[in-house]
Amino acid sequence: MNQEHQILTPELIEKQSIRREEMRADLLRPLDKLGMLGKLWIAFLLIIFLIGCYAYYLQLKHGLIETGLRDYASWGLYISTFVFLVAVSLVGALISSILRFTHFTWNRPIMRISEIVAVAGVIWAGLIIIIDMGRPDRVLNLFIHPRLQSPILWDVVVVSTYLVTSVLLLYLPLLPGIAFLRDRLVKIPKWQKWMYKFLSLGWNGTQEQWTILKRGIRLLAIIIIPLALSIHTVTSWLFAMTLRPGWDSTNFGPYFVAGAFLAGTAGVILAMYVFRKAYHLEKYITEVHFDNMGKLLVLLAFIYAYFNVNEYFVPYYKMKGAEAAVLNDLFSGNFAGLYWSAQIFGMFLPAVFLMFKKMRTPGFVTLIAVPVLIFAWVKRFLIVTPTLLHPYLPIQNVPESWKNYFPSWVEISIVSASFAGVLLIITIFSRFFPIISIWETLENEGIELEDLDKLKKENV
Amino acid sequence: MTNNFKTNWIGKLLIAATFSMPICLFAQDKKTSEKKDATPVAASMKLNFAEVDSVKVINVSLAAGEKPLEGIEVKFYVKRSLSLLPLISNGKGVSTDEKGGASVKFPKDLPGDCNGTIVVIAKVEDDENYGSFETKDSVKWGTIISISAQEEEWEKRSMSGTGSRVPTFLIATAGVIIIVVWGILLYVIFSLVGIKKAGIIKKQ
Repeated sequence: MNQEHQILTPELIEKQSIRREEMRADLLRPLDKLGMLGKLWIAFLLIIFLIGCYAYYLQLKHGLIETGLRDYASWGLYISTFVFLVAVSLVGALISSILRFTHFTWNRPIMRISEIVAVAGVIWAGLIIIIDMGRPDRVLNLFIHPRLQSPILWDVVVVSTYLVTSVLLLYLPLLPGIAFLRDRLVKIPKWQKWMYKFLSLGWNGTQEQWTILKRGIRLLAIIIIPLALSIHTVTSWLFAMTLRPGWDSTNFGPYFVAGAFLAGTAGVILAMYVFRKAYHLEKYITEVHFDNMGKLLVLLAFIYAYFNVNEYFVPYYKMKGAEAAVLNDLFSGNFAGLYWSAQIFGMFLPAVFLMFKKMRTPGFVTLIAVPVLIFAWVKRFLIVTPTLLHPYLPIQNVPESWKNYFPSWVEISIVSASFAGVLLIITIFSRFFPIISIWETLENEGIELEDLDKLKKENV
Repeated sequence: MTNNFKTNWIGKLLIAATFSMPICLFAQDKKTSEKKDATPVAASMKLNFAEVDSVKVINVSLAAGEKPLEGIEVKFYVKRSLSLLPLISNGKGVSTDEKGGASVKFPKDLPGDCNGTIVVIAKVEDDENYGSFETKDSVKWGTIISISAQEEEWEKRSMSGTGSRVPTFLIATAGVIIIVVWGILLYVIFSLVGIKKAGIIKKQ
C-alpha cells in the first residue's frame, strides 16, 4: 500500500503472479486437513469448555454461593479475567492500527493474528462479565433502566462498540482471502462452500471493490485507536470511580492501557510462535518479527514500569490509613509472593532479558512472553482482590472465611472454560481462514494484488 | 535413707499445702474486698445548653454528691444514624475545671431532623475512680433539613442522580461520541453492501 508503484512489465507480472500463487498455496495448506495433534488440541479445549459449562449450570442453579465470592470479595476471579481479556484484546488496535500509521510494514503478516486474538478476547470479556452477574437475565436491566452516569453502562457501550469494530477490522481485510477460498476450495462440505460464498460478498477484486475495502479499513484503523484507549480506560474507571483504597487513583486509565498493551503483545507472540510451528509459516513469521516483537515488549514493559512506580510509590510514600493496609498486604502480607513475582517475572526480568539481541530469538522471546502473560493475569487479580478485602469500614460480624478470598472449583472451571473459549475461537478461525493476510503480506513484498486483479480483469 | 527422704518430702508438701490453702483463700477474699473498695463513688453529670452572642455552647457539670469533680475528661458526641459523631476532632475530650465544669462549642452547620433536633451525648470513659458513664439530652440546634429542599435536590440533574436525572453535559458528550463512532461504523457496514453491489455489476 505504501510502496511506490512499479511499472508492470509482463515478466514482472508473471513473477508476481507466481509469488502470489506460492503464498496462497503456503497459507492454504493448513486448511486442507486437520492433523491428529490439531484434533487432540480441539478435543482438549472442548473438554475444558464442557466442564466449565457444567460449573456454570451449577452456578445458575444454586446462585453465586457456589463461588468463593461473598459480601467483601464480591469481585474475584471473574472480574480479574474480564480485565485481563479486555487488556489482551487491545493488541488488535496496537498491531493493526497504531503500527499501520507508523508506516511500518513488518507487522503485516501478524496483523490477522492480533485481530483474531482481539476479537476472541473481547467476546469472552463480554461473556464473563455476564457470568459474574450471577443472574444473566438482569443484564437486560442495563438497557431497560439505563443510568448514563454509571461507568458500568459506559463499559457495556464501549465493549460492544469495540467488538463490532474489531470484527469489522478482522473481516474487511479477509474479503479477498474468503473469495479466493470460495473459488479455490472444491472438496469441502456444502455448508462450508455456502459460508465462503456468503461471507465473500461477491468479491471479484474490481477496482471499485478495492477502493471501498481500503477506505473502510482506513476508517476502522483510525477509529479503533480512541476506541481501544476508551475500552480499557473505562474498564479502569469501574475501579477508579469507586471510593476504595488501592483504586482511588487518577493514574488508573493510562496504567491499565500500558499494562494491556504489554499483555496483548505477549499473547500475540505466543500465538505467532504456535502458528509458525503448527502451520509451518517460518517464511512469513520470521525471526525479524520475533526480534521486533521482543523490542516492542521491552518498550511496553518500561512504559508499564513507569506507571507502576506512579501507582505504588506515591501512595507508599504517604502510607495513609486504609491505603497502607492494602499496600502492606501487597508488599509484605498475604499477597506479597504474587505481587513481587508479577513485578519481577512479569515486567522487570522480561524487559532486561529482551534488551539483548541474542535473547530475541523466536524460542526465547516466546519463553519470556509466557510469564509476561501469566503474571499479567495475576496482576489483574492483585488489582481486584486485595482492595475488596480492605474496605474503609472494617469487616465485622461475618464468618472468618469471608475475610479472605479463595476461588471455588466452580469459578476456576468457568474461568478455565473462558480461556478455552478464547483459544477455540482462534483455533477454529485458523481452520477455516488463512491466518496471514495474503494481499497485505504481498504488499509488503511490493506486490499489489489490486493491480494483479485489475490486469486479470482486463485480460478477461 | 531414700525412704526417709521420701517420707520427709511428702510430709513437707502436706504441711505446705495445709498452710498455703487458707493463705490463698484469704488473699482471694482480700482481693475481692479490695475490688469492692475500688468501686467509684456515684458521680453525676448534667448537660445544659447556652447561647451567648449567637455562639452555641454545650456545658456539663460533674459532681460526686455535692463535691465537684475536677480533672475528669469528658467527650462530647452527637448521635447520627449509625454511630456517634465526636464534636472535637480525633475524639479528644475536655477536662473539667475546679467547679466540675467542661464545655464545647457547638458547630453552626450540623444537620438535625425535620425540626432541627439533635441528640447530644457527654461521656466519661474508663475513669480510674468513676468508671464509665454518660448523659444525653436533645436540643433544637441542628440545621433543619426540609423535605421539600431534599426533594428539590433530588430533582436536580447530577452525577449521583437517578437514570432519569442525567446531567445535560453528559447526555451531550456521550451522544456526540456515540453518534460519531457508530456513524462511522454504520458507514463501513453499509459499504459492505457497496462491495457486494460492485461485484454484481462487474459480473453483468
